[in-house]
Amino acid sequence: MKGQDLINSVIPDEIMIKAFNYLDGQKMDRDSCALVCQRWYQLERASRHTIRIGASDGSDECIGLLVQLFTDLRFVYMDERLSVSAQPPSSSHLGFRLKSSRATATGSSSSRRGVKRNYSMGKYRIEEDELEMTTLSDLGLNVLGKGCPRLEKLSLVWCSAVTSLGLVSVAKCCKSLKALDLQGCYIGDQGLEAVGEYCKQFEDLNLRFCEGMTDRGVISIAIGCGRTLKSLGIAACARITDNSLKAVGAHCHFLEKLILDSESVNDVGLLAVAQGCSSLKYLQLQCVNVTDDALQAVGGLCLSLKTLTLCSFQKFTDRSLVAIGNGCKALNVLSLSDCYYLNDQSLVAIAIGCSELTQLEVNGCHNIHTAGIEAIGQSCWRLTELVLKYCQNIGDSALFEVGKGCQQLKALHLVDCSSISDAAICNIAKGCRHLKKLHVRRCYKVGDEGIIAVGSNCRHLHDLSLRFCDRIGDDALISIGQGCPSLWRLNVSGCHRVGDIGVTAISKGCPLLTHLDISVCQNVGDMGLAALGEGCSHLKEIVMSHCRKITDIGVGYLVKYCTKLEACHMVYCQFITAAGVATVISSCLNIKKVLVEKWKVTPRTRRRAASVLTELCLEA
Amino acid sequence: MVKECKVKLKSSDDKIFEVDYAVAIQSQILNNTLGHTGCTDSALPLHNVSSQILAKVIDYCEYHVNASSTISEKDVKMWDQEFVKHLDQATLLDLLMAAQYLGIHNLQELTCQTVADRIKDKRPEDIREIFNIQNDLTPEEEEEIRCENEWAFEEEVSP
Repeated sequence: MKGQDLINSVIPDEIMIKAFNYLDGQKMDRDSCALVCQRWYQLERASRHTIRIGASDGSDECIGLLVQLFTDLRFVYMDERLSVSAQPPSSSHLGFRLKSSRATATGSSSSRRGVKRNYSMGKYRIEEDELEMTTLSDLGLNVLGKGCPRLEKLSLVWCSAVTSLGLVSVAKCCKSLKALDLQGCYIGDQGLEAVGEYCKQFEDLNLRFCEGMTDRGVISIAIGCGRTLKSLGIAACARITDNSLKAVGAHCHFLEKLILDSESVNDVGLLAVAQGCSSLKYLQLQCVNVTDDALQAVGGLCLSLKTLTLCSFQKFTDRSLVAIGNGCKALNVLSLSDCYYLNDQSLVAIAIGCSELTQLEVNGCHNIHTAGIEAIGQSCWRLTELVLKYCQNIGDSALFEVGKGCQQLKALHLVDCSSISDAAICNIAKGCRHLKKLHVRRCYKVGDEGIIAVGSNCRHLHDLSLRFCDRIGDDALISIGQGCPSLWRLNVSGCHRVGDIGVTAISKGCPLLTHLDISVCQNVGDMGLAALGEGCSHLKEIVMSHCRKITDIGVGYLVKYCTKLEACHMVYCQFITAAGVATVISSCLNIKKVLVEKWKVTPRTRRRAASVLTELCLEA
Repeated sequence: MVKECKVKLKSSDDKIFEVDYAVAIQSQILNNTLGHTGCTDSALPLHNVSSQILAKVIDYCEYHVNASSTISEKDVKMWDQEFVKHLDQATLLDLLMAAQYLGIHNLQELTCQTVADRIKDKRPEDIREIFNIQNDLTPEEEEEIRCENEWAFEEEVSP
């Protein structure tokens, strides 16, 4: 009836697998391939390289089953922040003859994805009942090591039950290990010693919140993997000190990337690295005790440096950046956050010395004023991205120079730059016509005039964000609608002068829109939503919380046509009722997240869509 | 020493194609063969490649002989995309196999990537539709596979 199978009769296994590998590791694509037919299922499982799983909830068992299923794993990420409420197959199996325990498990299939993923590293909260769950242990790692002999990267995040023994067994079995990422684990030096001994292709070590690790472990990596180590990251590991860095400087001459966030590191450590690692390309420092002495040495010795990131109240002064400007001629990316002691001199020196500069971020460095940025505008013609955050002292003339001199600018971010006004934005628009991304937040002097200029000049704009710039209104959006047909991301949250006219203009002029945030735009109503429905059929995400005028009718129009919608936030919308919520759920087959008040979710809706609902609990 | 001779190739359906030496040696197999035998008058038989496909392979190789030196990378990419764009599935797959058989590395990559592109972002039923694949999984088996797919998260948790 349908004709002969075109592919399975022609293409042998190895080439089929090769084609899967060209899918860029996208899970969704691989999952689809696994469902096509028996042969594809088996080939896909045999060739999947990457897996990312929650580490809690009986996962030692999971590992055993996983390594039987996926026989060629190379990149394994175990993250205890992902709580797996999925019911893993309770019996061992090969292929898909799996006896699913779904029928006996508690909860319906929709609770399978009861995942809480909002933890940030520093503020990790352990839920009471999670403590009861069994989590990944050394046994599981042992099984993993044996099952993945070609393992290249292992990432263990907050796997609190794993110790050195587990890592030792992985190191012994997985001699091709190249990268190890340990965050919040109690693994000790013994584990790293084993890696240093057995894994002679090891390139990349990242340690964060590893209280059990001391210098001994890092030194053994430096010595054992000195010839291959390319990247080292150490953050919040109090027992790792300058001694480790001295060893790195002495043995790891091919090191390219170093990330240090530590109070235990001083000048002597960084100096040792600067002296020993002349191939250093990427340096990120958040170390309160490091001073000009060390950074000047970096400027003098690390001549291949391409990226430099300096964070947080450090004791550096202009001397350091002058040295960098003199020495690091290959510098592309510079990021300065909360560097209080840096003045305009620093940026002048960088501007003159680093003509290859493409990205600059200045965040909260209150002693950098207009002159510094002017210098950048005058000399760094290759600049493609400029980020200025909390720079109240930088004025319009800085952006005039950028508009004149940086014609290749593609992205501009301005946050809390209260001295920047429409004139500056107009200049940028006229001079930087390749602008793709403009983010302006809480710059209260920027209004319609500036954005109208953007609409008239920046045809290639993809991503526009104007959050809480309360002077911006419909006229700005009309200009954008007329001039920026490629826009796919728009955020006007907090621009309360924006109303239906503006939204309608966007929906007519920007058909490629996929992400829209109109939250706190209290003048937007059903007309705007209806226009969006008509014009923006590719819409994937909409945030309309606090839009007090919208009703179920508007929502109905929207979802009637925007069927690709994946996320919808609509809390504090008083005229949206349970009916509206139900309409969203039923019309949008791809919906993955709905944020709404708990009391607007009927039991029926909850049954249908528990896995996508994020419910806000309010007191009535 | 650049050889100026012509090379004769015979497709599986006995059609003869004449190409420049430089074009022919883009195929590893032909490169090796010609290295042993030198330029001869007799046609090299390619049993696995039909005339229709061989014609396309030759088109590709003729363009690419000079591509790296005289044409910009961007233009070459565009040409490549045009080359594969309108191929029907059967032709694409035959071309992939021919590239494999003849050892033409960049054509292999191009056709493999194109197959992947045609699979990308599609649901299983769409993929089956494209290649006429018969679904030999029972509904229970499908459900179990979906179950397995769900264990392994791929989305990164941002810190």
